[in-house]
Amino acid sequence: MTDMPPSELVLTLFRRRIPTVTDTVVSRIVEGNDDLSASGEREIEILPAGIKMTLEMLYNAMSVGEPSILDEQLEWAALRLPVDGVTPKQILARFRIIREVILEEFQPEQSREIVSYVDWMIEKQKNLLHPGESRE
Amino acid sequence: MNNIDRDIDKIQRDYLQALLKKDRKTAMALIEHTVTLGLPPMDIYISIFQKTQYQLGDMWMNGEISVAHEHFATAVTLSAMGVLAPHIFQGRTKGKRFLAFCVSRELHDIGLRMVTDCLALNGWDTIYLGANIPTAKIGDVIKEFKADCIGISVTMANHLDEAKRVISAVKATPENSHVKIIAGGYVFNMVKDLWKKIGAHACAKDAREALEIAEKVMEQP
Repeated sequence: MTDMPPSELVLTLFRRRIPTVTDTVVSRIVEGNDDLSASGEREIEILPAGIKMTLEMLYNAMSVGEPSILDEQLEWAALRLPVDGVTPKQILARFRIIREVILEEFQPEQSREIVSYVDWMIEKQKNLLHPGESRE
Repeated sequence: MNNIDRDIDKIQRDYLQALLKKDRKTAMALIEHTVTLGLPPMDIYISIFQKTQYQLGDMWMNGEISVAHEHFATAVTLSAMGVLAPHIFQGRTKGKRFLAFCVSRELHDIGLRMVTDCLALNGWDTIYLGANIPTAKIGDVIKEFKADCIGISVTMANHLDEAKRVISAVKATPENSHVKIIAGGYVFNMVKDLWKKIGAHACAKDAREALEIAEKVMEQP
């Protein structure tokens, strides 16, 4: 991945579709169900806001062509989110769902530009897992 | 450590403790006491307010205090800044105008308030617009205030694009093209040279540095 931002078209489309992608990702996480068991009902309430914020971070990192923003945000989340009951392993699983939904929502040439940033997040998140948490 | 530093250090620790105990009265009394002691307002801003806010932010991050508690503490600090206001807005100004704001949806404005007050303490004419400013009309405000320099604060990375749009709009307006733009806030402290990518002229990591940078940037053509 280069530090060049994705094309204006991809940025515009992604920004416009953040609400749709958020809804789909949240539905898929809730359908998966077992992923929420650790943090319970409170997390169901804050989940949409968390996913939306993640996608907005992703959009902003892309818009300035600066993936290291994501790096820093992931480190921040690794410290903060366990306080809210969200484990690094859950975060990793959600990034994989985000990747999956982006591949479905965008044309292949558009999703390629976005997914390279999501892959960056996934790789970084693997290094933030707690000891004993599986990378798979 | 000299006597002033020792006084400030002790007051800072007591101020933090008062905020942690949700004791607004003691916190305010401590700041009023700094005025009685004649401690320099700039030192109070940097060594008490800024240091305390950083510590509270770390405590929230580690789950030691709730978001509500952090907001309470921030509200007290904003009130405490008011105690110092008579000492900030006095004396002659040097004719340079600074306008400060956070972009739409960005709510973390206390750092920018400190920057603005520190500039005012050093003779700048300042206007502080605060958090979550609808940016569509910001160009008109800059013209109206005849700002020489603007400060844009971004804490959360998800507001960077908005800041980039604002800067781009300011630069594209002929009447505002002379205006110097300083970026600041948590996200810029974390990612080196990020400010260049949103088109700012400079970046400052805290209130003291903002003052130096603002003076320097105004000397640039």
